[in-house]
Amino acid sequence: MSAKPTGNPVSAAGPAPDAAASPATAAPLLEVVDLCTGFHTPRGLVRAVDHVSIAVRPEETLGIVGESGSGKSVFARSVMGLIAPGQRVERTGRIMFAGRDLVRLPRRELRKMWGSEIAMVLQDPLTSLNPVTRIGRQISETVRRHRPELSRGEAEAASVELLRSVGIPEPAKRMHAYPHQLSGGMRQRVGIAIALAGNPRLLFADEPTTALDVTVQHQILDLLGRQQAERHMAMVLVTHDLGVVATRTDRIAVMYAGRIVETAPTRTLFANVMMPYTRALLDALPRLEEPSHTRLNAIPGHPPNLAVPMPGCRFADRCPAARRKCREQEPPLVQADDPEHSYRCWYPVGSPEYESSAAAGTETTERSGSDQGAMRER
Amino acid sequence: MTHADQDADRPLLRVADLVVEYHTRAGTVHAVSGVSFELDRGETLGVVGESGCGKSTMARSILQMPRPLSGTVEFDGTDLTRLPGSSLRRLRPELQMVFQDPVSSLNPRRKIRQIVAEPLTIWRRGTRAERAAKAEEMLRAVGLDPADYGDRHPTELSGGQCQRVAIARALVAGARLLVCDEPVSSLDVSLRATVLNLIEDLRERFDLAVLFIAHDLAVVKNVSDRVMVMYLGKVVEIAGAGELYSRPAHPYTLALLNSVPRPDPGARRPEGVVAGDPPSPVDPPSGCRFRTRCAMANDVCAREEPPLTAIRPGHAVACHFPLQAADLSRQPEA
Ligand SMILES: Nc1ncnc2c1ncn2[C@@H]1O[C@H](COP(=O)(O)OP(=O)(O)OP(=O)(O)O)[C@@H](O)[C@H]1O
Ligand SMILES: Nc1ncnc2c1ncn2[C@@H]1O[C@H](COP(=O)(O)OP(=O)(O)O)[C@@H](O)[C@H]1O
Ligand code: SF4
Ligand code: SF4
Ligand SMILES: [Mg+2]
Ligand SMILES: [Mg+2]
Repeated sequence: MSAKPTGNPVSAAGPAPDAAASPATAAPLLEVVDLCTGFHTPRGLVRAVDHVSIAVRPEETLGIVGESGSGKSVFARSVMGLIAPGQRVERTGRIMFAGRDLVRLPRRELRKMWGSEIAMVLQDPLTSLNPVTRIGRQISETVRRHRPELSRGEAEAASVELLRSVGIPEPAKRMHAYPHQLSGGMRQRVGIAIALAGNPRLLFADEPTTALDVTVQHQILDLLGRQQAERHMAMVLVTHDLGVVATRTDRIAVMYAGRIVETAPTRTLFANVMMPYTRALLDALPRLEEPSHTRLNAIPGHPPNLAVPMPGCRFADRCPAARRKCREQEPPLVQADDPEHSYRCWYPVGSPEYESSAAAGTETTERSGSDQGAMRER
Repeated sequence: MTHADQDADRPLLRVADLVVEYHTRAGTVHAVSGVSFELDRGETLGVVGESGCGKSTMARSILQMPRPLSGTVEFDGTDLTRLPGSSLRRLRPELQMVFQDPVSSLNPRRKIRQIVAEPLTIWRRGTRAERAAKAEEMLRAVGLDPADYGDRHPTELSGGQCQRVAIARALVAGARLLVCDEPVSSLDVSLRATVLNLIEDLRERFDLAVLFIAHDLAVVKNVSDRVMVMYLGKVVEIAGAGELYSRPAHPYTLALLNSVPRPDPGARRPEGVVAGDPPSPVDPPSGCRFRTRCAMANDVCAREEPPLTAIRPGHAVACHFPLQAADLSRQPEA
């Protein structure tokens, strides 16, 4: 494995593009360079997104995974410009979208891009839909905003078509429904229809199926995949479930404590995990092929407090392979065998240090009857 | 409640022909339509099914909130459906429930130690000091150090920690039946693993009977001894966890299994998944309720309701044409 540094640790100044952001075959549609988003809170500056660089190519699907609180939503919302610098928010870096830097774009210009260039689907569309307005009217209004030349009737017809395209049966009838009259799956379809109304080139989907049961989840992910192919759209799929991204993405970025800690083409990542955190996320999943009552490998401890700057690797407190160096120096993003695969770790999965520590740790992971297991994660 | 000595072989919970309906402006919602099962001490029965199929309604009506329209719920030999409210309240500490949203199920103005001790206060158990000690013991049992967490408020805890507090509170007064309604659905992967491990540990330690509801089939398999599949208010299949996942006999069970996302980029995306939404429980289809979405449905399915029938010991299915091992070639290997 070549361990050639391709990025800079936090301390280094300047927008050194790392492996994740380097242009590969196609010119990227979105190129985020050194993005930082911080919130001023009574507890200090919370660095929710900390020097993140990543690119999304046209028509590509990028998955972003990580535990709760790792900064996935703040990242997505910062790129969209939904979290904008102000009294409480600091945002630095560059967000190049189709040749323009969104960070410098006047608010008015940015708004014009919402829906027509970049759009977003949220976990529960109920929060973004107006509860007292029939869904038909909400969709028509969005359609007319993007295509002001349409008459009211034409916009309505286009809305019915849009509902049909996202798989809503009897769309003309459903136009009259209020959001609460629809099932969770139907509401998410409406949310997707609204996001697609302006024919965006990039769609952010932030946990679009987390609130839904497996059957509907499958349907919605299929729908997103189909729409993406038909519209030649790029997509960023945010989730904490590695099972969801495994078969639905081209590339994955793993986020932890505001950082990208590993990024690779999806197949490469699953075949050759380097970062212990990614390994831990995978190992925590219950698996259908395992027998019942298999003890799960929860990640011990919890993510660090983002208001307190950390000198070393942010995963050190929870990592089985952590050593002194890890606590003192943050590992830079380095390239793995695949030039598109990079990670931050001094003792990656497969290294003698990691393997010896991980082997020593497995004895305690059997599911025991004692309360020791209950005490394991504190 | 000392019936246990008389009949130790009897299952702790025996539910028979449970029916629950809601009366709404749209008509009568047939939420639970004749559910029967048994559950033993120290055993976990998993319940899976789509959203709206009646899982929560069934769970709550076992606890008599709301009371079922008909059917019996025998808890350690006592039929709860015939019990007057006052006797039911006395039994309440033994039947406890944990819900999906850990944060909103806890009173934000109270401290963690007060929240956990609350059931003891309500049921006037022991002295104040004894209650405080018991609450601390339960906090430790769920892996929270009382010195560190006891004086915090729920907003100062993560979702997984709140769920542990909810579990500690459910068990503090001596629960024997724990009903978990989607207890990990709103938790991320790591917290989910923690809470599942915890439920397993506590079940063993306190010999709990656990009714575990979730829509994630991998989660359910991990904690369950047996699994029950529900569709539109009915049980369509019930079997040992290993058996259900390796030899599903109901087309709906197979479709559910096919929908599970696999953390493996090389996995084939299976074809046989369920399309569309389930029909309305106000007007369920005649015959087999699954027939409107079943690829194998024929006239018999529309005319006659398939009864829940044993096909092997401990494995029952409600389908006129249960799947044979040969039909399962499309099934992802288990
Ligand atoms: N408006 C805000 N003010 C202060 N801190 C915030 C704000 N929004 C988010 N944060 C903090 O930023 C961090 C990242 O939050 P974010 O919502 O991006 O996490 P996430 O990865 O999307 O998690 P989840 O999986 O739970 O959705 C967290 O520590 C969170 O508490
Ligand atoms: N309080 C209520 N009033 C009317 N209908 C209800 C009520 N609670 C649940 N239902 C309906 O009963 C059916 C079963 O719901 P529920 O038990 O919550 O399902 P699940 O928990 O499996 O998602 C659904 O059709 C639901 O809309
Ligand atoms: S081995 Fe060290 S650098 Fe690598 S993840 Fe663990 S703590 Fe971080
Ligand atoms: S009874 Fe008929 S419709 Fe119902 S599941 Fe079996 S084959 Fe399908
Ligand atoms: Mg989020
Ligand atoms: Mg429910």
